[in-house]
This record gives sequence, C-alpha cells and structure tokens, in this order.
Amino acid sequence: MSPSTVARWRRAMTRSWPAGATASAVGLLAAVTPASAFAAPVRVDDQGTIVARPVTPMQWRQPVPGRQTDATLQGAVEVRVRLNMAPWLGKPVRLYLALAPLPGRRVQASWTGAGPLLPGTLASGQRALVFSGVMHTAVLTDTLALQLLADGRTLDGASPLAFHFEAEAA
Amino acid sequence: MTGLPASLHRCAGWLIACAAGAALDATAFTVTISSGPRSLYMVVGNGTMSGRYDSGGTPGNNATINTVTASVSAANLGAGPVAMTTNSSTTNSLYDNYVFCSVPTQVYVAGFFRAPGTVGSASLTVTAPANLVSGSNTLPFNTISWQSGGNGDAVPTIPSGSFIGGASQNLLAVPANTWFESCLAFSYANGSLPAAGTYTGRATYTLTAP
Repeated sequence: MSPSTVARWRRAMTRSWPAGATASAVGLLAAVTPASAFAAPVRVDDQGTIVARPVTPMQWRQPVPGRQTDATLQGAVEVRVRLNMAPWLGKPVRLYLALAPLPGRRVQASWTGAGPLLPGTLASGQRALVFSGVMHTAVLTDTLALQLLADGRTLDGASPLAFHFEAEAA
Repeated sequence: MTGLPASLHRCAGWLIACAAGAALDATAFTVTISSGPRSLYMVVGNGTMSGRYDSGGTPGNNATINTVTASVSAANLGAGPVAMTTNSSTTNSLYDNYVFCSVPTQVYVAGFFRAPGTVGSASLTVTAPANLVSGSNTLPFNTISWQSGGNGDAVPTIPSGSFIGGASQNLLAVPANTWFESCLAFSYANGSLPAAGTYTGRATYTLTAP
C-alpha cells in the first residue's frame, strides 16, 4: 500500500465510528461521578417535559460512506424540560440526565441547554451531571437541544430512547 | 372485586395499568429515533458528486453513457490484444478527489450502498450481449476483457476479468455502508479476422441491494 493510500484510509477511518469512543466516554464519566460518593439517586418527576417530535429522523452523518465502514447516524431534537424539584427546594442537590441501556445498540446523546442545565454528553447506560448546587426553584425548566449519534448497523426500525433525570443530595 | 360484573373487572384492571403507566411516564421521557435511510449509488465513467464524501458530499444523477473503443488496422488484424480507449474524462475519485484513474485508458467505476442494520452486501454485476454487432456481422463480446487498478490500490477492489457475453456476471459484493471504486482498462483480444466494420455493443453495470 503506497503512502498516499495509507493517507486516504486514515482519512476514512477518522470519519468512521471510533471503536474506542464509548469506552473512553464511560471512563470519563466514571471519573467525574463516582457512584459511591453520593446518596442513592431519586428519579425526578419530569411530567410536563415535552419532546418536540414523536420520531426523530436519523440521517447518515455522511451521505456517502467511506472506504471503511462508516455507519454513523445523526439526528437532533428539542426537549422542553420541566422538572418538579419541590422535594429538593432550598437544598444542595446534584441532578443527572441518564439514558437507559440499549442492549446491542450504540447511541450517544449530547445537549446544550438554554437555561440552568449544564451541557453534556452521554452514551446509553450512562448518566451525566446537569446541575449541581442549591435548588432555588420548585419547578426547573429548560430547553435542551439534543444531538444524537447512533451506529446505524445496530438500528433497524424505530428505537425508543428512555431518558430520565435523577437527583442526589449533595 | 368479587361480585363485580365481568366488564367492570376489565375496566378496573385497565385503570390500574394506566395508573402504573402514568407513574412511569412522570419520571422519564422517551425520544424515538428512526433508522438510517437506504440509498444506492453507482457511477461508471463520468458521474456526479457535489463535494467530497467527508464534507457532506451528495451524489447526483448523470445520464452520460461513456464508450470504450479500439481501432484495428487491416495490417494488425488478429495480431493480439489492442488496448481500448474511453471518452470518459473522470480521473479523480468522487470519494475524496484523489487522482485515481488515467484517461483515456481507464474507466472509473464506483459506488456505495447504504442500509441500516445488518443486511449483508449489495451485488455489482455487468451484463453484455453475446456479440458486438456490425450490420449482419458479429464479434463475440467475450473478446473484450479488463484490467482493474487504481492509483494507490495494491489490490484492486473490482477484480480483473472479461465479459462472458449473453448473461449477467458477478463482479463484486459491496458491504453495506462502504464505498468501492476501481479503474478498468479494457482491451480487445484481436485474435480473429472479422469482416471490416464498426462493431458495437453495450455493457450494463448494475448495483443491486438486498
């Protein structure tokens, strides 16, 4: 294989789903949020949270695949978050966004908020910190611009992604 | 629940299920995502692609049908292989704009198959008639062969071969979500003494997805 060919394949590989991405993400999150450091998490009442689209259409990140398999899908959806934080009003709390495990499927979510929630990234089966501090409101609202990446080889048909918020006393 | 009518039993059960569902919904939200769309693209000779694959390149339609030709002088009839030339002008890969083929000696053949899940491979085939035709005279299509290559490809993706003529033949299994490309240099065997004339025939390349 000539040097030029190697260069071409390297370019292709950088655009495909990196095999170690999920493992790296897990390691990073674990370092930030050791599970044993806090009290047991409590699911937060998110009644009133609205997902803008019933089905988020996923598109290939690159319409044209690379010479090596490139099956990354991407999609975006807006989520209007409304959380009942009354049980933690006036108390220090850590709030996490979690995505339920998806056996056999690889999905990554990242988001930015327009309000008090921190931006972040997580993979299925993980959680990420979105708020830390004293809760000053009984109803926390924010609008998240959710970006989704998925391995298209693991998706065939519509797939529900179950997110939830959970809180821990800080 | 003893003594309730059967219809009320069902209703009560349904209400309990609804209450449980409402409790779950209050602490979770669901984002449903679709799978990726299917798509298929192939180019033989001149094709159209806007942008590179890694910068949102988008395939386009190109109705051009390119030709490959060989001219054999009377003095060289039957004297052995003659390289064919093409009117295709494609030298650069539509994938990454790399200078891949040489013209007029090579014809660029490329494409891809996109599909969600694990669906196997698409199939690249070529079909040619049994003969090239010049009026009432014929020349077997299997007198035309190709050498596959491409700058930087130690092993060509599409294997070299020759037309069998009169039937479809498999060239390549294309795995889902991968790009393939090769440059084909055609030659005429020139091992016989056909009647003078211009012999023509069309080979059709087909990419079929499962």
